[in-house]
Amino acid sequence: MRREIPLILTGIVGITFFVQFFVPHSPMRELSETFSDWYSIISAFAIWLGGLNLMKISFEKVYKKDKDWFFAVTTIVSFFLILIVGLFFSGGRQYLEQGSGYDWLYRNIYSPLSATMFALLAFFVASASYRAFRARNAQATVLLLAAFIVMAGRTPFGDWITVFLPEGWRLSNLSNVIMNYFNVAGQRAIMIGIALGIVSTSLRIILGIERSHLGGE
Amino acid sequence: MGKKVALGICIIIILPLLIWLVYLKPGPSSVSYPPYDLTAISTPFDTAGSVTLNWFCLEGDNDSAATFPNYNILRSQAPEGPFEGIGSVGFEYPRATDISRQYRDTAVVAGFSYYYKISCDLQGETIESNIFGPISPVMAAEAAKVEVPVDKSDIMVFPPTQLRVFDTPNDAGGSITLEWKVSASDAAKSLLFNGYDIYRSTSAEGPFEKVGETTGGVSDVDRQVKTLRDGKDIINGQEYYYYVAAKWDGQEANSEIAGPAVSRQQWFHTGRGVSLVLLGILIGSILYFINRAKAGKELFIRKIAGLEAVDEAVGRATEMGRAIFYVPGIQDMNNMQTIAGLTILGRVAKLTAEYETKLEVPVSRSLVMVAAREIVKEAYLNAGRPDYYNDDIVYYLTDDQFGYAAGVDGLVIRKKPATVFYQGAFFAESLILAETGNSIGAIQIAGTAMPAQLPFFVAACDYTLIGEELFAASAYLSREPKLLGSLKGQDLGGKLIFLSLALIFVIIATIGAFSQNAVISDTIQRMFNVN
Amino acid sequence: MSSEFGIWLAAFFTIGIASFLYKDNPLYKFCESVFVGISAGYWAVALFWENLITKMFDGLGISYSLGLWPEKGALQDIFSGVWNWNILHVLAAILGIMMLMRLFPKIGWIARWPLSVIVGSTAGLWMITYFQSNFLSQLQKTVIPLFDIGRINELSEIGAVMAEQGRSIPLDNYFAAYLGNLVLIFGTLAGLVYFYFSKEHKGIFGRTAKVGIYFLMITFGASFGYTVMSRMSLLIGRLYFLFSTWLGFVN
Repeated sequence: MRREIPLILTGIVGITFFVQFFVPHSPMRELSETFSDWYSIISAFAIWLGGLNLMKISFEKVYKKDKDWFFAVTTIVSFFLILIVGLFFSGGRQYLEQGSGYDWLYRNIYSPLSATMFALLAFFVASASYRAFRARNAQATVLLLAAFIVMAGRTPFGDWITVFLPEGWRLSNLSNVIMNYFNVAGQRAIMIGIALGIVSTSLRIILGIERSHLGGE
Repeated sequence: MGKKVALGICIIIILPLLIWLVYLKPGPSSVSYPPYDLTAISTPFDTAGSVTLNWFCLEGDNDSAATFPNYNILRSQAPEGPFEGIGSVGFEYPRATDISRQYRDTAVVAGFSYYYKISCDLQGETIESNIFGPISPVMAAEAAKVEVPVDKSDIMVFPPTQLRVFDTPNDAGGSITLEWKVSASDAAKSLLFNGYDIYRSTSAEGPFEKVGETTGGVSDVDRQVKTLRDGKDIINGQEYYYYVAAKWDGQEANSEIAGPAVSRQQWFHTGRGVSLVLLGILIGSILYFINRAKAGKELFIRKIAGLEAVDEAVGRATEMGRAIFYVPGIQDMNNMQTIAGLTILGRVAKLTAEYETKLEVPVSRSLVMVAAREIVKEAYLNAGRPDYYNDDIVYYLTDDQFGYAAGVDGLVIRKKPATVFYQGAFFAESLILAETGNSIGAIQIAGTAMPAQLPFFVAACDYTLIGEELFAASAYLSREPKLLGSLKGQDLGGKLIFLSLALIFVIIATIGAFSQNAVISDTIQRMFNVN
Repeated sequence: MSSEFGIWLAAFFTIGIASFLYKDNPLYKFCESVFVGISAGYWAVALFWENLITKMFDGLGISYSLGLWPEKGALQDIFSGVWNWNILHVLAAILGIMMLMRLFPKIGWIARWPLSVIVGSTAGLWMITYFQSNFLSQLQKTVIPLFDIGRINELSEIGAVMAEQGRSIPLDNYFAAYLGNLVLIFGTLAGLVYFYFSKEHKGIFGRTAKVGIYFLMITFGASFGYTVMSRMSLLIGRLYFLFSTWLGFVN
C-alpha cells in the first residue's frame, strides 16, 4: 500500500504519456491532458501545506523568542494581509484587476521587492566576473576570453579597441562568430546530453528502478 | 569486438528503415507540374462553349520583360498527340495575375474531349508543360461577358483545382483535411482576390453548406497548394463531400466536388516513426545494460569531479560543525530536474546522517517539501539514524522566485553553512544564490540542466554538474549496478548512435551539396523532422 | 517628489532590499520577511482562484450548481448524458485531499499517491518532449554538409558589392561559408564525447573530450557575456524608479 501503489501509479501514468505520443487514438490525448490538469489542482491543495509550514515556523520563532522573532511577526502579518485581502476583499475572481486591494499590494510591495532582488544581479554579475578574472586554469581563461569578446563585441567599445583592423574583421564580428558557431555547438552538446539524461531518468522512474523520490516503507 | 559488430548491424538496419519512414506519406497530396502547372476548365458563363487555360509564367516573363518569346498553345484530341499549334501568347499580352497567364480556346466543339500543352522556346531550349486533359467544353445556359484574349480588366476568376479531401492524418478523428491547388487568380498582393469559401455536404448531390472560409495564399510554395483543416462538428465515420469557391471581386468560381472523405482515429502517428525507432533503440539499450548490470557485470564509469567532491564537502561541514544547505531549485515536481535534484538529496542526506551533520533544505514548492521529507526520512532510516530526523530539516519559504532567493540569501548569510548544494532547475536567481554562498566561503556544488544558468554556476561555484551529469548523479552516488547500467545504456544507445548517424549523414549531405542534389539534403532533413 | 503613499512604500522596499549589498542588516531582514510572507500569500491566492476555483470548481460544474458561475461543467454534462473528461477532476480533488493528509502523521504516507501521479506524468511527458526537441531536432541540425556551398558561392557576389563600396568581405561571411558548419558539427560531437560516462577519457577519445570541454567553456563564456548587459538594464530600471518616479529628479 505504501510503496507498491505509488510505484504502480507512477508506471501507469508515465506509460500513458509515452503511449499517447505515438497513438493519436482516443482516449490517449484526453487522458494525458487530464493528468496535466491534475497537477495544477493537486498543487493548489498542496500550497496550503507550504503556507502552514511557513506559519508554523514563524509562530515557533515568536513563541520561543528567537533572536529575530520580530521579523517572524512581519512574515506572519504580511502573509495573512495579502491572503485576506486577496480572498475576501478584492472582488473575488476579479482579484487581478487594477485597483483591487490585491493589485495594490502587488504593485507597491511585491513588485518593487521582486524587481530590486532581480536588479541585484547586476552587482552579482560584476563580482562573479571579477572572480572569473583571476582565471585559475586554461578552461577558465577560455571562458573569460569568450565572455569578454561577446560582451565587448555587443557594444561600440569592442569595435573601438579593434579599430586598427579592417572593417568587418573587428570584435563585433568575432563576437558574432563565437555566438553563432562555437556557442551553438556547445549548447547543442549540452542539450543532447540533457535529453539522454532525462530519457534515462524518466525510464528508471517509470520502471520503478529509481524510487528514492517516494521514500521508504 | 562484439559490441562494434552489434552497433554496425544496428546502423545497417536503422538506415533503410529511417529512409522508408520518411517516405511513408500521411495522406494523398496534390500533384504539381512545374514550371507551368497547366490547368484548364470549361469556361463558365460561355453560351458558345470554350476552354480556358491557365498556367504559371516562366521565369523572366514579368513586368520588365522587354522581349520574351511567345507561349505556344498546343492541342490534341488524344493524350499521345499529335498536338497542333492553335495560337500563341506573347509578353505584350496582359497577364491574368502577376504570376499566371490565361488563354481561351473558342475553336472547340461542345461534347468533344481535348488535351492541351504549352511550349516555349527560351534561350535555345524548348520548355514544355504537362499535358492537361481530357477537358470538354460545356455550353452555359446563362451568358456572361467573356473576351479573348483575356484582358486585365476583364479577368475571369479561376477556380481552385485538384481539390482533395482526406481524413486528417495522425489525429483522434473529428477533422478532415482539404488541400487544393490555389486558384490562378490567387496572386500575392492582389487586392481583388478575397480568399476561399469552404462548402460541405454529407452527399455528393448536396445540399452544400458553407462551413468555413480562409484567406488567399499558399500553404506549400513548391506545390502551390493551400491546406485547410475542417474540424467543425465532424462526426467520425460519416462521409463528407466538399467544394471550395474562390472569391474575386464579386465573382466566385467553384472547384469540382471532392469526396467522400471519412474522418477516423489513427492508432499510430506516422510522423513519429523515426522518433519511435531512435527512442526504441535508446530505451532498449538502457534496459539491456540494466539487465547486464543486474547479472553482475562490472561497469566502468568515469570520474565526475563534482560528485567526487560530495564526500569531502560533507566531511568539511562536519569538521567545521556547521550546517549543509541543500537547495533543490525553484521548480515543482512537474520538472524532471527537480526530481533528479531530489534523488541526489537522498544520497547527500544519507551522508549527513552518517556524519551526524546538520542538514537544511529550504524549498520553494509545497510538493517538493512533501517529497523531500519522505526522501530525507528514508535516508536517515537507511543510515540507521532515524532518531536524527525531524520534519523541520525540510521547510517551505515561498513559491516566488525572488522571494525565495531573498529568503535563502538571508538564511545563508546568517547561518553560514559550510557547504551549499544547488541541484535542480534554476533561473536568474542562480547567481544571486551562488554569489551569496561564495561570499561566506561555503563549498558550493551546483547542478542544473538550465543551459542559461550553467555559466553562472560554473563561475561562482566550486563544482558544477553540467546538464546530463545532474541526471547521472543519483546513479553515480548510489553506485547501484542497475542505475550505473542505465548510464552505460544512454552512452551506447544515445551518444554512440547520435555520433554514428551524424557522421554518416554529414558525409551523405556533403556529397549531396557538392553534387548539387537537393533531394539528398531534403530527405535527410525530413528524416529528423520533429512532428 | 511623489506624494503617493504607494510610491514611498515601493521606494522603501527597493532601498531595503538593495541594502543587502552592504551587509545583512535589520532593514534587509524586515524587507526579506515581508517579501517571503507576501509572496507566499500572493501565490496561495493566485492558485486558489486560478486552479482551485477555475479548473476544479468551474470545470466540474460545482460553481454553476451554486449559482456562482454562468457556464455548465462536467457534472451537468454527465447528468444530461454527455461524456466530459473534466469529470476526472473529481479524482484530482481526492488526490489533493490525500496530499493534505500530510498534516496527520499517522496517515501522511497516503500523500505519496498524488506525488506518484505527478512524478509519473512528468517522467512520461518529459521523456518524449525532450527526446524530440533536444535529441531529434539537434540531430537534424547537425546533419548538414561540411561546407556551406551556397554561402561559398555567395561570397564572390558579396565581394563584388563590397569592393564597389571599397570594403572587404566581413569575417562573419568567410567563417559561415568555410568553417561554420565544420565548427558546428565537430563542436557538437566533441561536446557529446565529453559527456560520455562509460569509457575512460584517454587517447584520441580523451583528447576529443578535452576539446569538447573547451567548447562548453566558450559556450558558457559567450552566454555569460551576452547576459551581462541585460542585467545592467535591470539595475538602470530600478535606479530610474528611485530617481524619477519617487524623487522626481529626472523626467
